[in-house]
Amino acid sequence: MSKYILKINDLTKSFTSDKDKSPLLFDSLTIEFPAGAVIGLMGTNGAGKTTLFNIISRLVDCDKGNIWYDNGDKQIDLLKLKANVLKGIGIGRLFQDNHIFADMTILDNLLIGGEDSFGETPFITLFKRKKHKEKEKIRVAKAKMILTELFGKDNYFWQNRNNYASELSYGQQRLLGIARLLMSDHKLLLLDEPTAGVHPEIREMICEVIRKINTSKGVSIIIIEHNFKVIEVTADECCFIDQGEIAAVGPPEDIIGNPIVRKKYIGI
Amino acid sequence: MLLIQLLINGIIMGAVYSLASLGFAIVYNTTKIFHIGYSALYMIAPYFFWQLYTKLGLNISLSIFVSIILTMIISILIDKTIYQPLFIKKSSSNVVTISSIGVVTIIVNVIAMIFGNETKILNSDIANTIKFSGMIVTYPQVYQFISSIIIIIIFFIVLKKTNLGIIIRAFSNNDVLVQIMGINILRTRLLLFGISGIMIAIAGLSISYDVGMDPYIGMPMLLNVIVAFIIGGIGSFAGPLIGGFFIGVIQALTIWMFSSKWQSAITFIILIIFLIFRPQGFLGKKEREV
Amino acid sequence: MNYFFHIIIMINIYIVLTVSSNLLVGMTNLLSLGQAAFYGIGAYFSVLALTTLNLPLIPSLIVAMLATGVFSLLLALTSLRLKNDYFVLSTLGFQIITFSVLYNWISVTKGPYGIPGIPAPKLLGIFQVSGIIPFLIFSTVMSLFTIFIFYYLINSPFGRLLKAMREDELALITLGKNITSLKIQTFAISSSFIAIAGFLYATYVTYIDPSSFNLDESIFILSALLIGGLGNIKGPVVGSIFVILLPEILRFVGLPDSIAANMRQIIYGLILIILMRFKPEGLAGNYRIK
Repeated sequence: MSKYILKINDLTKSFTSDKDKSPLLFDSLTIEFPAGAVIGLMGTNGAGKTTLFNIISRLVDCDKGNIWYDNGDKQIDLLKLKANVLKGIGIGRLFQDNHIFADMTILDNLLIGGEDSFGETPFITLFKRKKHKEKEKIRVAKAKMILTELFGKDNYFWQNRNNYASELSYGQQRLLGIARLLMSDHKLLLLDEPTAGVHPEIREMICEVIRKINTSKGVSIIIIEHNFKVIEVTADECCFIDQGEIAAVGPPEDIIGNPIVRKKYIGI
Repeated sequence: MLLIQLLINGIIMGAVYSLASLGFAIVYNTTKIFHIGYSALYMIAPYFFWQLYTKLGLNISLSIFVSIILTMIISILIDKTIYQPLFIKKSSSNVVTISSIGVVTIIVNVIAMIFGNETKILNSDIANTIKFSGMIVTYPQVYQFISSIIIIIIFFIVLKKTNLGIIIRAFSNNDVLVQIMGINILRTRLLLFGISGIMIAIAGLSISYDVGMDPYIGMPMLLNVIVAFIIGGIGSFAGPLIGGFFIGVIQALTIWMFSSKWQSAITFIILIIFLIFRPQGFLGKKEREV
Repeated sequence: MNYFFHIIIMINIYIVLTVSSNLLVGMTNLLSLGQAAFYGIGAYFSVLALTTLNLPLIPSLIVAMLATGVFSLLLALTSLRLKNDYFVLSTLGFQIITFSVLYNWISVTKGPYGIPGIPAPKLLGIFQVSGIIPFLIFSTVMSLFTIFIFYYLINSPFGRLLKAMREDELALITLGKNITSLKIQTFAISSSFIAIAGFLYATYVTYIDPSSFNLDESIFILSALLIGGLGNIKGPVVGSIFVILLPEILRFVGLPDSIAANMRQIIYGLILIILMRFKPEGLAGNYRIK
């Protein structure tokens, strides 16, 4: 049996908080995502893709089921955890709308994503100034490294690191969001429409980055995407969700060629 | 026996709280403004009355009528000059709340500057009373109760039977929808503030006629009103009634069990219990979590 | 000259109040109407430490800070899940309940009679901080200390987290930060530093009663902060200087005392409204409250 990164088991979630009356969004959803792969998650609007992400990242509760996460040495049921501990076990999330800190500098945006949170409590800030300044230096160095790795030497982000993130274009904010995720080591990234609404040039860049993260660091990635091209380029495997159910699973070219999928998406 | 007397007082007070709280609800449910300026209206109405009736010697019903109208106008002006520009600028709720605090500060101090800080008595006669089986109800209390109940009933008739009622209900559900329906939101808001102003004016007049007033009576009243409103349930119009009577009775029981000086503390402890365990109040719907 | 020193001491006290409040209101976007409650708790515990426990200056100060910090956790735990108006309301409740306890629990706090004759705090066993000049030095040291600490906090990784939190809690959660613990820390730090102001006030005036720590005082502290501006150190400092100097200027202009107090309040109210409309970041702040 192949290793999985995420195994969703019997997940049930109703539309509203009123469990008895509401129709079900997911009815005993069961699916397994293999480790080390890029998995495309497709489906029409309202199919429950983002809700599934929200449940996995513990921002939304579900009614029953398990989500097993395998971080290499043990299996953890994510549903027993709180949202803010997920980063600690290696799960990162990119939101559909950017959710970067617009009124903070580009550098600060990156530093917040840092692995090490030393110095982020007031007492340490006040009483261990020397050590926390060192740690801060390490964080800055890491930010520089990430940016160079992703966008080359003398990249726009590093040069303008003290500018406010709000001055970036939408697509650049997207890239910043991805760079922020890379500030710490993840085992699994959940990317919600990383290329939606961005310039084709940036789209290609993002695709490249996704591949790079996957191959060079072995990070498993689940990506919600509507764009067939992006799926083709990035995904190893693809999964089509329709009305809360898995309608088709397989290699991207099969899914994209699948008549049901084409009918749902393009209407032909 | 004392308990029953206290409960009667509590229910009468509860009726006034209900009325005042309903006026607050009309504003909050539709515009989401945390209308702290409301407290100033409660206080200003009896001052208008005092000026008209005691100073200028107008007859009593005309004085009441005119002071209600004037309060209504102030209420409308507050929306027009303070809240609406912020609404148009899409200011955040905290900004509106702070401006509202500014409004109260100004009105209270203007009144204090003109009329002085001391308590003014509107009705110096010893109040006539109605006695029945050992219980005593004063005439001012009767006025408080009856006027509150009448206005509440009128409001609910308007709410259920008229076009205005439909607009108010639509407004309290979703103001985008109202805009689509082709209703001028800004003008409708003025109407709502007018109605709310009338309600608080009547509450202010009927209480002050009983116990007199000073420039600072608004805030304590507002605190009770807000608690009644929250406990009753945000978004509903029946909520303030339940909340109002609930607070009235609780305060009566507080007097009976402890002492009147703990009223405000107990009221707010109840509020905090509600905020923790049932933030939607008795009747409010649970907000969908995102 | 003493008059001049007195004004500087008052400015120092308000700098401590507003700079600490800024961490809560400006850095975390939690609008609190309960700051005077912390101020009062700090003052009463200072007196307890100085008189009943007969402690010298520094231990008393630490007792007051710790005690206020613990009380702030009470408010934090009840109010942290609440947003916007609901949060404001819970702080209002905390303010009212605290005042009510200070006012009515006469056996402990002496209630409205107040506590006179607060002794001068002893520093290092030899030096008594009494008289205007030592107080000028003491209060200046304390306000500079507060400024230093908060400047450092705001510009540290901790401050960075706070800025991120006031912008986007959701993103911060997925970046692995514990929002609740952040807010609790903010509450605790902010309020325990407010206790310093309570200590300064109690020992300077040598008399405290609950009326110095009522809702009006909360509104006043908040006004000082909002007028000056949020998000940095300059804002609160400017605000404190402004609200303390304004009445003196009015007196200088020759406004009669009878209306000066009201006039001052009216001006504060007007400034709040105007700032909220046109410059929500205040005179010298860099953050617009949301």
